[in-house]
Amino acid sequence: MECFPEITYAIFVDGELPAEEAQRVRSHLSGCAACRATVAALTAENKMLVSTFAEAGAPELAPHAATGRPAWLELLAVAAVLALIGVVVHWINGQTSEAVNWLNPFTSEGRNNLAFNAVFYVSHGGAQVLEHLASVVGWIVLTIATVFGVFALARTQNRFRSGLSLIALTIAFCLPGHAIETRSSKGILSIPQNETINDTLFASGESIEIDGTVNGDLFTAARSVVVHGDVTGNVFAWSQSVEVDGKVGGSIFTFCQNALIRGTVGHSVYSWVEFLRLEPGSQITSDVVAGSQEADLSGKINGGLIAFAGLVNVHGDIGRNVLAYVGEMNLNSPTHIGGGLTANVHKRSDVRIADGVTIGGPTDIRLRKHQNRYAQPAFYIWRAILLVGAFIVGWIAMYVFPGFFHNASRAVGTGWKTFALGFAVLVGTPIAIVLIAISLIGLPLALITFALYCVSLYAALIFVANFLGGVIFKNTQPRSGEALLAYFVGLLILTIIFHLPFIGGVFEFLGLCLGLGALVWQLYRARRPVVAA
Amino acid sequence: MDTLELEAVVKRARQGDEAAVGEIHRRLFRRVLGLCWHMLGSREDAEDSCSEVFMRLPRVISTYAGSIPFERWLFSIASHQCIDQLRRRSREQRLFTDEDAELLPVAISATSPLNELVRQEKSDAVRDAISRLPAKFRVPLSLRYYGDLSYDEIANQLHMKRSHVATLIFRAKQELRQKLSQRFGE
Repeated sequence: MECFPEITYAIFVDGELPAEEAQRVRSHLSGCAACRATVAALTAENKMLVSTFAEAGAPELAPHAATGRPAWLELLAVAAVLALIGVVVHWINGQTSEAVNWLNPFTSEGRNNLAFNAVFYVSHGGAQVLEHLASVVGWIVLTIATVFGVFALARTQNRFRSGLSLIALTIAFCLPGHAIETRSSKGILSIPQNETINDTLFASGESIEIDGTVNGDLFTAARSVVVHGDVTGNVFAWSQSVEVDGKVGGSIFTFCQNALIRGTVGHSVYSWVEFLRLEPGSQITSDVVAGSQEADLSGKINGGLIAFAGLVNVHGDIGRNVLAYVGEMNLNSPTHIGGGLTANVHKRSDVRIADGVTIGGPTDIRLRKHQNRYAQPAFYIWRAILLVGAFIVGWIAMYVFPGFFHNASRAVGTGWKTFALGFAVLVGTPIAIVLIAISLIGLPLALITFALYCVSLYAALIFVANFLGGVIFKNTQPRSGEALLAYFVGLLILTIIFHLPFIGGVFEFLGLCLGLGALVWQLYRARRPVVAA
Repeated sequence: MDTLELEAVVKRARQGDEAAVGEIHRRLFRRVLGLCWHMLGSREDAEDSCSEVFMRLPRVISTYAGSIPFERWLFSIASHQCIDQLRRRSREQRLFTDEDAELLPVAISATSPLNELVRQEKSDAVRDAISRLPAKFRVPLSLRYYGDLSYDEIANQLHMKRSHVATLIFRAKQELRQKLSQRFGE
């Protein structure tokens, strides 16, 4: 009798040969030593495969899934490092007196100062640095997008559409915005007196002088900006100094070191500057909102004034209410305030009202006491409301996107990779937002990105809370009551540790990085390109 | 609940007992995760699929008729999930083609190289080679030797003829032998 092919013996060894054929194989084997050896080898091979699979078992899991053990040692080490940071921060806080708090980055004053400094640092050489950065980043992005687009087009049909959209997007980026006029110059950029621009103008350069007319909004990025002419829309100025001699139809939004206004503003002034000066003769039709170190207000403000400042000097008229959170405030004669005055200061003598100053409404001077926030019931009520809010959002997410929610939470536990990714997103996104905001595609996209960024930050902490809950309640069945409880406990712990004195902020930063990293990684995994199986 | 037989736990889970579903999760999570891992070849994808299986479990457990052991039934659900995932990932919607059922011209050898390797305590190498097999071979091999599914059950999962399953498993072994003999110069 002829030998069977090897595959028949393989099926025989698997016990899957029909009874009749198996019988024929058996009778052949009894008379064929070579085939008996083959069958013995195949049987051994099967046993080996079964034991290899069994030994391999299951992979080690990311910390909280199922029976995975949380890496307590790692947690302990992180806790020890954080405790050390806490002690150091506490020590630094103890060393600095209140007067130099603005130097200490661990106090709110210090942080504000740091933010100011950062802004001024950027705005100092602002225009050139940003312009350069934007153009370099822009070119890199365009090149990469084009290369990928062409590459994707050349690939299979699946990628054809994405390649096409990428190229379309690239072209859209390259086309100049039709409603925006862009001007830039390495030195002085001047719009002469006889020139009228009937578009929104985006101007950048070392210094910008507008002597003509801009019938639209004016966006500037420069070391100094001077507006002698007319701007019928709003002025957005990001620079070291801004001077407005002429007429602005809309509002002025400034973000700079010195802002000087001599002319008239059709609407309001929103300034985040170091020194703000409204010269005598200047007129603001609506309100002034000033966040500055020093504000000197000698012009006429028809609306109200809201000031957050170290020192405010008022010489002119203010039509409506004044609300001030200030270090010092001087109301000099002949100031006239149409509405009431509410000033929040440290001591009564910080507000000096000269003789001859008239105030139409009531004067309310409130003394700010440094109150321990933990001693205020409102603090706990707000935390509780936010906690419940986050719980409901997480609950909905758990039921609407169960897989994504679960996997993103689990990804929090993957450690440094997630952390690094999260850190990059946390820091990189605001930079990208600023670059987008000053580029051609402009503000809408920047605002959308900003909104997404805020949502992501919120979601990030929800994932971290769920991960934390999973570490404590191991092995919960997804979407069960227990999983929900675990999430709530995680949220509660997170709320508590984020509000710990001294190190709460560090924890929050860590949590944000981990959560953001997990979110972005999971988004990438959910939409990642095809991989040959 | 620890002392209860799995079948009793399953019975309670079918009646909607959440704690029993949790117990099944506790007992079988790693086994199912192992199957997903072997089938998909990636830890993260395996975790995703395995989570998905247990998330769906409370809804689908009522369809378990008790005609086969529960673990095998759960394995078939998990393998279905993994195959879905492989299909989603694959550019080719068809993971398994008729050409796969053709045999490689590998000489019949009485001494399988795999046995040699086991003797040489190189099972790590075997594990590694399995994970590098193409999905079309890795999937049936895992279902057969890890999941202990029969040819009929595998054929059902992969929507193919029983004879194709036999060929795929055989070809998977041939590939393994070839890979390993190349590696160890046999």
